[in-house]
Amino acid sequence: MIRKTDACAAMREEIHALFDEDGPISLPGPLREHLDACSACREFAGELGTLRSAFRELPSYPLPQEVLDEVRRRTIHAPTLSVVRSAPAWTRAAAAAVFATALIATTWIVTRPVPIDGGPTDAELRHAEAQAELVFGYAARALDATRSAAAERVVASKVSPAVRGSNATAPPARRDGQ
Amino acid sequence: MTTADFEGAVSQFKDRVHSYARYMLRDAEEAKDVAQECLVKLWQNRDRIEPGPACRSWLLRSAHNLCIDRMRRRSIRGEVSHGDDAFEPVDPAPGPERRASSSQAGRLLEQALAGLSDRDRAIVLLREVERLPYEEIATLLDLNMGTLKATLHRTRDKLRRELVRAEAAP
Repeated sequence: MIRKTDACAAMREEIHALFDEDGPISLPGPLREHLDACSACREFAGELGTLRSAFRELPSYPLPQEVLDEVRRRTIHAPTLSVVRSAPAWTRAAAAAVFATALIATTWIVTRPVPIDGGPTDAELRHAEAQAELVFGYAARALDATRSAAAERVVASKVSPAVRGSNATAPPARRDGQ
Repeated sequence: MTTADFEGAVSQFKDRVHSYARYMLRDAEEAKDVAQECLVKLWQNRDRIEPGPACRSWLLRSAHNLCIDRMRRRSIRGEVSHGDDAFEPVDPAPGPERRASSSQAGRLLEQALAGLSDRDRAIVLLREVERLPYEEIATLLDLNMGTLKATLHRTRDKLRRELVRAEAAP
């Protein structure tokens, strides 16, 4: 009797191992012989088969639609983090001006003519300054002469010769007779 | 994993992840939270996860860890835990979200699962329902192979007896 129980325990472990396999179960010869002879182990194997079927029929809990919607909202439909904010027009204009100034300055620095021998001497600068003052002086006198001539022409065209003559000989009469 | 892969994985595994969390936690709201968190984490880690079986394993591992976290928090808060001998039915009346085709044996098994310890329930669900390889379950639950197989066989026996007892009951 004890030997039979030991045999049953070993066979039941074998049955468990068979149920561990995926797919259809095929009984090895010794196990089949034991099951033919042992109704208790046959019943055991049948009940494990029922249990296996019950696992396949275990109720499933579908994910509710509102949870799925929330998942999609937080994943594939989530807003991206790189939100582009439109800057005011004056900011863009200022940025463009700064960029243009920097570009011009850089261009000038790169392309300016480099003095070969250190530039003009002090004497040359003084001579150039004197020439410039001379030119400015001539220009100023020419401008002054032009302005005077223009004023005389205006007076000649707007004021009658009689008035110009009386003005030249006597001062205007005073109303109080003094 | 591309966006299309992610959508495919969500479509394929969302119910399994939710069901696993539901059986582990036995709480509808918490199961929804866990499933949602898992799927969002999958999206956040999509660059590191290949579609297919690896994705399923990743989701189940993530769901299991989240369930364990929640069960630990429950025990810290002192909430009632279900012991090995407490066979409390889970949702005795089938709700609209449950599969209409679930059989009587399936519902009896669901009740029997509720009476298992958290670890035993995880082992049997991961192996018998999700068909994860032993090696993966052993790694996930931090068990050696001998302990895992012995526990699985013992748990099967327990469930088998419970089914027989429940089916025999009037």
